[in-house]
Amino acid sequence: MLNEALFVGSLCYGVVSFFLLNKKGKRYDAVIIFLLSCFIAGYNAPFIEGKWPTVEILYSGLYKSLSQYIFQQILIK
Amino acid sequence: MKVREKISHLQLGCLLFGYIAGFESLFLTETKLMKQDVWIANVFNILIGIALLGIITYVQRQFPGYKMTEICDKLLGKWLSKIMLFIYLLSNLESASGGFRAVSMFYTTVILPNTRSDYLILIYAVCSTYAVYIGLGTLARTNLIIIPFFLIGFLATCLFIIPEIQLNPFLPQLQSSKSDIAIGSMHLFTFTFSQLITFGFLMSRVENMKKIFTSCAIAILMSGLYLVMISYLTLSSLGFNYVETSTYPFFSTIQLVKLGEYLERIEILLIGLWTVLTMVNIIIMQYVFTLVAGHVLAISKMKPFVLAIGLLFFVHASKSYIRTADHFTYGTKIYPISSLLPCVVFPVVLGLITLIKKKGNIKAS
Repeated sequence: MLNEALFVGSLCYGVVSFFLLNKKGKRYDAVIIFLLSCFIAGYNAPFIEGKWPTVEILYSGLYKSLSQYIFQQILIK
Repeated sequence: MKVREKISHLQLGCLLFGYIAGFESLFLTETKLMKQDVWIANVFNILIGIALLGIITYVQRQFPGYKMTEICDKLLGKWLSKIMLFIYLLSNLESASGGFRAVSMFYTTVILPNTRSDYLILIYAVCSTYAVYIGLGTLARTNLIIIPFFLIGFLATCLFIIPEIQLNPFLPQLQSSKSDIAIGSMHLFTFTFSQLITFGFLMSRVENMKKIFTSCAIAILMSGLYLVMISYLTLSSLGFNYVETSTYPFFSTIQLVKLGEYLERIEILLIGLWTVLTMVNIIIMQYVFTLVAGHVLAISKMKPFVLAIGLLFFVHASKSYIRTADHFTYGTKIYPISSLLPCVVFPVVLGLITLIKKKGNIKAS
């Protein structure tokens, strides 16, 4: 329920902010806030099912082997 | 979000103390690892923290009137600066999400077991977004009100715990292996003073820049002393075995505090104060994220973005570190490595480039 509300809420916020900022002549800001809202909505989209990227997933993939190597070296020494 | 509001160097120091004191007393992982030798990790931590602070304040002093983000542009060039700042933003989001998750985990484990952690994170995110909206000055003043109460509460805890202390828990010394000392020190540094770069982004907002180093160094020393004291109290009152198995050892320690026969559960008061300080931590992260994101994305006015960034913090935190074991593993294995680039390498590179440019300018003149 919370997920669906946030999905719809963030999309609505993005669309409303886009039009408000566009009306003030800040087209670039309007596009950025719309894209950001769409990205946020992606986290709660019912059809994505938890596959949206998080820093945890990204960094676990990037640093896992380096972390294992460093901790192994510390323990060996 | 007011952009030009200035704070004093004392307020910045207090923010730093609140930032460290709030979170670090939660898990005491390095105390579990190093036991009686935890003071060594604290000494290393204080020294490295002061060195890092020295580098950041040195860079800021060379460019008075400039924000740290603008200094990055000047020193690294526009695109490299954007890349580094983007990496910092990821690190900030990672830390803040870990913070949200840690607090919600604490509440759902100890105080509110039937509440969903998402709802707790939502409440936290709403509060932090409102705090970012009203500005840094208000946050600094609120923190100045909270800290004396926190210190009084902590002092009272110390006084009530002292009768429980039978032996000096820091003896016999030097029992930990070098690898344990290295890992413990690295872990402590990652969760405390590695985030000084976050305060670097606030330094341009301080009225008297010359006093930043002194006030922040005092805050670092006080935070270090606080961490040593809570480790001492926890180890001496609970014992090594209990500390090793307890998830929240300092919380178990303050549960020992009793006033007479009937006035018990004083720890709830302390947890209330501690919760506000953890809020300070998260608010500062979110505030700096908003500032840096505004610079990276070249946004003209950040006010409409405050709510969007608050939402981003909430949804990201609610989708990260879902399993408790994963959260612990990430905090001990990945986070100390992933934070090295934005929190240590980044300020050191800025410091080196500033130094080289300064020498070049002196030679040229």
